[in-house]
Amino acid sequence: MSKLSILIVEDEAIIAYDLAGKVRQLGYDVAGTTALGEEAIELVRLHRPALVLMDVQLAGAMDGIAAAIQINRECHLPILFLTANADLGTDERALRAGAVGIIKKPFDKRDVRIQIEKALRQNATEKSGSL
Amino acid sequence: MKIKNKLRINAAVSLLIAFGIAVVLFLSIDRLYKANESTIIGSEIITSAFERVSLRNDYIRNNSGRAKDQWFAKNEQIGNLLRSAPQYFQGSEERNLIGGMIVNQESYGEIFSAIVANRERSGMNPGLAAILLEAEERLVNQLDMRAYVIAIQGRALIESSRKTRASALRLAGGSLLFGFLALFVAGVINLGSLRRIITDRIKCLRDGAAVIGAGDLDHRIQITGDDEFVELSEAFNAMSAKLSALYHDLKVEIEDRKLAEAALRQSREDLDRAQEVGQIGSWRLDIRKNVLTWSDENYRIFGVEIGTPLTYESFMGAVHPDDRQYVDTQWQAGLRGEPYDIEHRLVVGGQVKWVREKAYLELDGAGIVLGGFGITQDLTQQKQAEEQIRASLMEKEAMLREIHHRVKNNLQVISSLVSLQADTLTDDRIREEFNTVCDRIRSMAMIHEKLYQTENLARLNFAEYAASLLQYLWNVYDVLAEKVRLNLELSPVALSIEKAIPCGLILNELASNVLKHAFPHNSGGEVTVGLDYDTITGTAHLRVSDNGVGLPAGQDWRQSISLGLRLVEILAGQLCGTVETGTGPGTEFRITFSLKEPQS
Repeated sequence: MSKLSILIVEDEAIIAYDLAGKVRQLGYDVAGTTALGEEAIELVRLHRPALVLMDVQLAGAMDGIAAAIQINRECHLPILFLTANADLGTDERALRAGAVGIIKKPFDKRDVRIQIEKALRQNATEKSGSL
Repeated sequence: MKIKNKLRINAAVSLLIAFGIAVVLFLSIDRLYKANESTIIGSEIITSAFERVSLRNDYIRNNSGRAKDQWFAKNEQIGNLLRSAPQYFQGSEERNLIGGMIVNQESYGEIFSAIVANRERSGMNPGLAAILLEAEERLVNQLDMRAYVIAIQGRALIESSRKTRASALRLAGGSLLFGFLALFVAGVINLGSLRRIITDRIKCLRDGAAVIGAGDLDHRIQITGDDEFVELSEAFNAMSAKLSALYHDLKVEIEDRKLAEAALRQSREDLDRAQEVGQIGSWRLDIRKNVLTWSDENYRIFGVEIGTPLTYESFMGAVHPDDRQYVDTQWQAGLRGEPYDIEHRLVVGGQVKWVREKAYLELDGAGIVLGGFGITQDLTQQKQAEEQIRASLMEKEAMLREIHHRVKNNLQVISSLVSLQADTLTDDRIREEFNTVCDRIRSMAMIHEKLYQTENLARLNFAEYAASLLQYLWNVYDVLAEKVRLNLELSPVALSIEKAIPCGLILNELASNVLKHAFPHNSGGEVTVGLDYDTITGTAHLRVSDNGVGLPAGQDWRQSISLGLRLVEILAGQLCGTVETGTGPGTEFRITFSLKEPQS
């Protein structure tokens, strides 16, 4: 059975690298890492990951919420947002864009594990329910 | 002496003189009348003498009885006349003359009677006729002599009357002349007296009145004596003294009023300047007279030329179209007695202005509005300043939120670096220590997160933070924490970032310590975290206790090699606080620190 893949969308390279390591340590494949929302959409189209870890603030013109809306429009994927913002407005915007959870920065491996497992479990439940 | 008495004396003197003149005139006329009467008597006597001569002759020649009778009648008449004559003659000489004439008259009558008797006897005895005729001739001669004497006496009487009349005329003329002279002298004296007692004093009064009328109210009229002019002058002087006092009082009052008016004008100018500087206009409304007045500043605020007649409609014309309904509604409510204190916009010269309107309306007993006073405060600059401050504040808040965001992001980078470094290690114990560092970073980041969520971005509710941190720890230590019951006894305590970060790190150390060491072999238990604030002493108390295994017996925690406990002591020192431990069972740490800011 192949591993589930996770796409990492994060403009901070060290954080993206750390996340990739944590994802692999948790037993998942990394479908790719990118700092751009537009590229994230392309990677989703290309790899169809099981989950997307999406930072709210990205390097390009498109922020994480806009990218998530586009991804959800094309293919329904669980998206976990990463954010250093603490305002409730950002949380609400993320949830309206289809977020299944929000990981607050700074996070550690335990945060990431709990949130990823919760999101995948929830997604699996929704799929089985829809079947 | 009173003027009336003086005038009475003058009049009495004049009357007395006139009376004297009248008496003299009366006496003179009386004398003239008597002289005239005596002349008539004299003439009558002479005429009668000649008439009786004629009647005697007629009697003698014609023996006429009628002539005899007429003679006797005439003689009787003259006798009576002479007997009544003394009343018209007052001189002794004339009276003697009259007396003589009476005697002569009587003799005259006796002689004629003798003639008559003689003639009647001759008829009886013709021998005697010659004797009787002779006697008769002698008697006639005597009678003629008597008639002559009577004529002489009548003439003397007429002459005396003439003298008497001349004397009376002289007396009358002299008396009239003297009387008129006396009247003239009395008139001159009266005129002088009148001039002295009336004209001169009236002139004195008139001159004094002119001086006082010219403004010299201190002038006094000097008239001596005891008459009405003195009383009048004293009354006049009293009146001028009173006028002087009134004038002085009036002058003082006018001066006071002028000063008050000047002060009022100054105050008005100050008010106008103050209104101009403060950009606060004022207005006054008299509903009964339907008069609305504005201060100059009010005109300026509304952009209306000063002095322009005002109406409610012209006022509403300046109000921003979107605010007119609101303003009208509030004004109508104000007329019903509700407070009128509103802010609205104006459109002045195409520019939007903000004003505050506040009115103090006056109501009568029936609640009817009589008028009122109000102010118009130009808030445009204030609103603009507020808008700038709000924009600046929002900008600063956005910047601060961005800083918090960047701090958290950087803490994430640090946490990732620590984590990546940990991943390079093979020793699980050491790797766990690295994870502990990440927890500490996380506890600091959560401070920023909570601050980010507060309104003032400077103080946070530590109870809320503590709950979130403990919830996070209980999540990430899931296996270790699943049998550990967490009791929260947290009171809201607001801490600044300077207090919150060390306090958060202390809580993180103590709670992590409990989860790692208090309940070995996943034995489970209870942890209680308390927070309260003593308002009297101004101190906060953080308490973490558990019913676990407790600290090793006989070991002083301050001598522990555990970095976590050393950090607790260091951070408590940073808070200027104290650390106390319980006696067990289990472990209890009590951190006490002051929330008062240190005096600079």
